[in-house]
Amino acid sequence: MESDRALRLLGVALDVLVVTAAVGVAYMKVNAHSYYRGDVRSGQSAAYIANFYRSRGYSLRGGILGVHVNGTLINSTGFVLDSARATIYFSAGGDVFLVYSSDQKVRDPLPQEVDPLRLTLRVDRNVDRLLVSLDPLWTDGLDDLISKVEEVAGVVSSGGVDYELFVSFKLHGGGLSEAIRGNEVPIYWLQSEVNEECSGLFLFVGSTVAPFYLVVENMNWRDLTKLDSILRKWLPADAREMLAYDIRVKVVFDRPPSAGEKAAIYEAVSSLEGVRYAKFMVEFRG
Amino acid sequence: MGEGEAKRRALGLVLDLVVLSVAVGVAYAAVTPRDRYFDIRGANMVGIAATYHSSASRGYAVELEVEGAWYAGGSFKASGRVVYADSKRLVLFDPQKGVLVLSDEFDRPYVNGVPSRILMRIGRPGGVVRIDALIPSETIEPDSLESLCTVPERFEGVEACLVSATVGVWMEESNVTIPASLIQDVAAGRRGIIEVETAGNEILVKMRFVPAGDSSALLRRIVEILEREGVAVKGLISGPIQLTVLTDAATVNADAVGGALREIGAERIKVRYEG
Repeated sequence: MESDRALRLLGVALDVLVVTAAVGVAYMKVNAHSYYRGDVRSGQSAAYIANFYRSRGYSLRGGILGVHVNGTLINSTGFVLDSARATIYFSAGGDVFLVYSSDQKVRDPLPQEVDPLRLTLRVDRNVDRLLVSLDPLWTDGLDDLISKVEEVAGVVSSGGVDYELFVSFKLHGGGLSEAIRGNEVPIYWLQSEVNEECSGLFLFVGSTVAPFYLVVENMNWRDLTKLDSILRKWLPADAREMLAYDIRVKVVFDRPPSAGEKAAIYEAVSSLEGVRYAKFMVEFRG
Repeated sequence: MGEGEAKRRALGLVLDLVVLSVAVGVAYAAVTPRDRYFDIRGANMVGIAATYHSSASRGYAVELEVEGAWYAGGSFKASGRVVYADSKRLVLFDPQKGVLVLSDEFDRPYVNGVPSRILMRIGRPGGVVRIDALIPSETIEPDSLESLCTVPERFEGVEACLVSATVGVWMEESNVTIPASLIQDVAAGRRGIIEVETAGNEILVKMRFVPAGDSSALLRRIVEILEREGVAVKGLISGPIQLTVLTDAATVNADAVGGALREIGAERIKVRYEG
């Protein structure tokens, strides 16, 4: 009788063990798809990892040890700000690098910036970011755009959380198109000078059969004044009146704001004139 | 105490002394600065650049012995000091062979050679002074860059005066009339060119540590070819110019060279002692 009881108890214990193991495996399976921590040397692998997790709404942060194409050693910690097909935009110390490695088979048509010796990435879910979309606005050089971005920054800083701010936009104008078509602007030189002097990416797009426009991607807002002075140096006066459109302001906070702080920031930003929408998110995806 | 016991104790003392001497020797070797060597196989440009930059930033002098293949075929050996390294290229100054651009980019004609083995000697700074000066682009016309070196070259003991800049040729017409490969070939004739881009109405040339005479000669040659082809040049453009002077520390006063460079408009002068 006693041995029968012991046998039953053993059976129960075994059942508990099996159920615990099943729950554990299921938990690990779920988390395996939502967690990454590791080192990569290849920019293409890094871009794949970043695209995989970013598309699922997770952020990545980490450190980079590499060599810049301008010949400086980069050894910094930061976060993934954006990713393209085979490139990541890595922000460190206010700067934004494009990560490419020499072993990459797939290359995005972007200037190569940093070749990593080691890129440490870790999924970070304890993050809150703010994406602000602005209506198109006419700007003389970048004057009006800079004022608008400063307005957004002023409102965000009143929330009391430290932040870094990045801007993406496009610039188009009839005068600008004419100036490029009429060979009044050394456009490749302009592109090279801006990419050397400013963070993020600056490109001009267009051809003889399509209108020209300028693209600025993930530029730290502190570089906008520098960009403006380079544009003023090369663009003729009648080409400086441009329409800035597809404007996205990305705010990365040092720590996740509290619910109260988020509400205050959201309300203040949304009430600004020209703000199309503002949304808090874990990762910028649109 | 027996005789055997005394012998054992003496042997023990001797052994202790040997162990102590070895420990002291190891400790002494660890704290004494000495030359270190990195033997890098293959054309790992990022590894080479990272080792160079991390050593240079700690104040060490970096000297290189390179074995590799010339771009045009055949093997070479060169030795000298690194003057520039980025994620794709290494610029070496060999006193015998001059400036060499080494890279794993086999398809660029202005790359002089592809390294297969690099022995990097990292030691204490010694007898060479490197003076880097930044000169604003407005100071000088892009086609007379070589004149910047006339002042520092007056000093006895100056090993080399090298010019780094990005320069552009802006044409009246689109360069569809001139093959890009022609411009690339002209650039390949000069040392220290790391990139040539021909697009639209522009030709952009990135020069890193080009011997003074070569810097403007390349631009003048491109302009001459364009004019003979009937393509008018709208203008020459230059970014900020970096002037690098390598001098013998024993004979040249770096401060005097720095002063002379300031007189020709140099800003941000940096002096570094190398091996």
